[in-house]
Amino acid sequence: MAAATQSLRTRTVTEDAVGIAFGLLALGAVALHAFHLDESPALQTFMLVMVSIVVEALPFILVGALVSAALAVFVSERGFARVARLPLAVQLPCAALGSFAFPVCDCGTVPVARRLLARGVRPQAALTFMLAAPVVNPLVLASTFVAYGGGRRGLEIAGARSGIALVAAIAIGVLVGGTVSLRGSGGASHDHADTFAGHLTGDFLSMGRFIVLGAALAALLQTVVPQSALARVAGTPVVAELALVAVAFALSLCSQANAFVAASLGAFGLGPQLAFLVYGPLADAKLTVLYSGTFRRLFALRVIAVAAPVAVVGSMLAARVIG
Amino acid sequence: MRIDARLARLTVIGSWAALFVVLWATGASSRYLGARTQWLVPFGAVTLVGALALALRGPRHGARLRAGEGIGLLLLCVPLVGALLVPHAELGAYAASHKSTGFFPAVKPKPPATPRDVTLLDVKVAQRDDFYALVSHIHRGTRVDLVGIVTHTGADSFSLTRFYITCCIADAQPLTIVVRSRARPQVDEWVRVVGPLTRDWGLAADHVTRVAKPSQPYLSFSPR
Repeated sequence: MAAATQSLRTRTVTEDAVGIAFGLLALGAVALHAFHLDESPALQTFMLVMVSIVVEALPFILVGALVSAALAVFVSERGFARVARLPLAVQLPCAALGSFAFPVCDCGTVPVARRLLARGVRPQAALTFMLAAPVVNPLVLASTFVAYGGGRRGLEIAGARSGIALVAAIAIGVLVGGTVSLRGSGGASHDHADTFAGHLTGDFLSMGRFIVLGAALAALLQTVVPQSALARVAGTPVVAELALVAVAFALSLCSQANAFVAASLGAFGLGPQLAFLVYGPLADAKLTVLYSGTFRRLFALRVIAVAAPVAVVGSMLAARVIG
Repeated sequence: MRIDARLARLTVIGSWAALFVVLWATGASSRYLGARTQWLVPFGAVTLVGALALALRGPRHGARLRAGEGIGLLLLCVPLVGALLVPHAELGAYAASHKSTGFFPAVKPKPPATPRDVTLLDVKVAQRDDFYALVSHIHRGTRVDLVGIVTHTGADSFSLTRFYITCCIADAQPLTIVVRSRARPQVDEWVRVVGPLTRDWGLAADHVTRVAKPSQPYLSFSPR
């Protein structure tokens, strides 16, 4: 009886807290408007950047949630068990090859990888798929080809980008996969998780909130930190690559269109541009928050620790080869 | 207070679906996305409405909202509140000072059909590309008619800027030209400037008039 009363009290408190938080959000918005703080250029820039990143990312999150829900509902446990029994030497190349056929942006592959992990696929293979697909899928390769003017040059850049990304994805999968574990349902209730709609809404909402946090982080960086210092390091090897890795982190662009931004960074050489193209879809600001909310044990930091050096070294080598 | 978890989820998904539909229907998506990524708005509107329909058909267990999920839903509402709070927000002088990298969009627009169609992007491309300048008849002395936002003012000049977007606002780059004029427009004011291009690719303004913000405030890739 006492336990039931305590449980009821806890529930009421948490529900009240949620209600109060929503009220505070509305009150904050009214206060900003009343005191004309919404006219502040910094706030407007922050809001515009945050909303634009979320608007760009949410449709991909939804596609990822749809695929994830389909995997959960329509693929039998037996099917997953059969895949899970395959040796890593088979799963890893299959994951890498599979990533070529999944035309979705970086945010969309996270719910799919989470589902694959939850259903027993080897973490190394699931991570390789999650990290490679946003860079090596046909849409991204085509946009990279077009952004660099097509022809032989376009093919070289698209090939170099996908090659380095595959190496980075497999390296992260192998080096980080052994330690990865999933967080719980992420706060999204899976009361109806046996249904397609339950999986879809659960995955979409739990991933979506991390996208909002990541977009807010990216928007804050862009609003507070002036980008003019970049031009000064454009000609310095390694520093230039690292600078564009930092830019890719802060901008958090969609992998399907970021090649057009990379191609505009003409003051930087090909190496830094490739580092920008490879690193962004692996671990930008919004993904770092998304990873932290999805996986345990400093997963996001481990990904950054492997992705940044592989992207920088790989890009420098590729730039030397294709000039 | 009792909050039904299913209702809360439906409300958040429905709100996002409504935002995408409104952006699609009103063409306001250009406030956030460039021409290359505009397709995401109709795509998002259709898929979100579909997801809402699926969620509506789901079972009604009437479970209570847990605190963790409630905070997640609250976070998802923040950009919606932001979009409502500053519906007419735009990048201006502050963004130009923070987002300027000195780099130039990798784009080569089709030459403008007439001098009236020249945009700030055409002028900046012509400044870097002699062939483009030749075929589009943009050179020093060409009279142009440009619309932009004032991002800096000096004693006898001001900076006229338009932002160029590739993916979304996050990658917006300011394209700026120095206008020599005795007119004193305010920073963050939209103006129309008419006059010849100078030797240093500035603009010697004959006329400077205040104008309303254009329906497409940002320049983006356009096949013209």
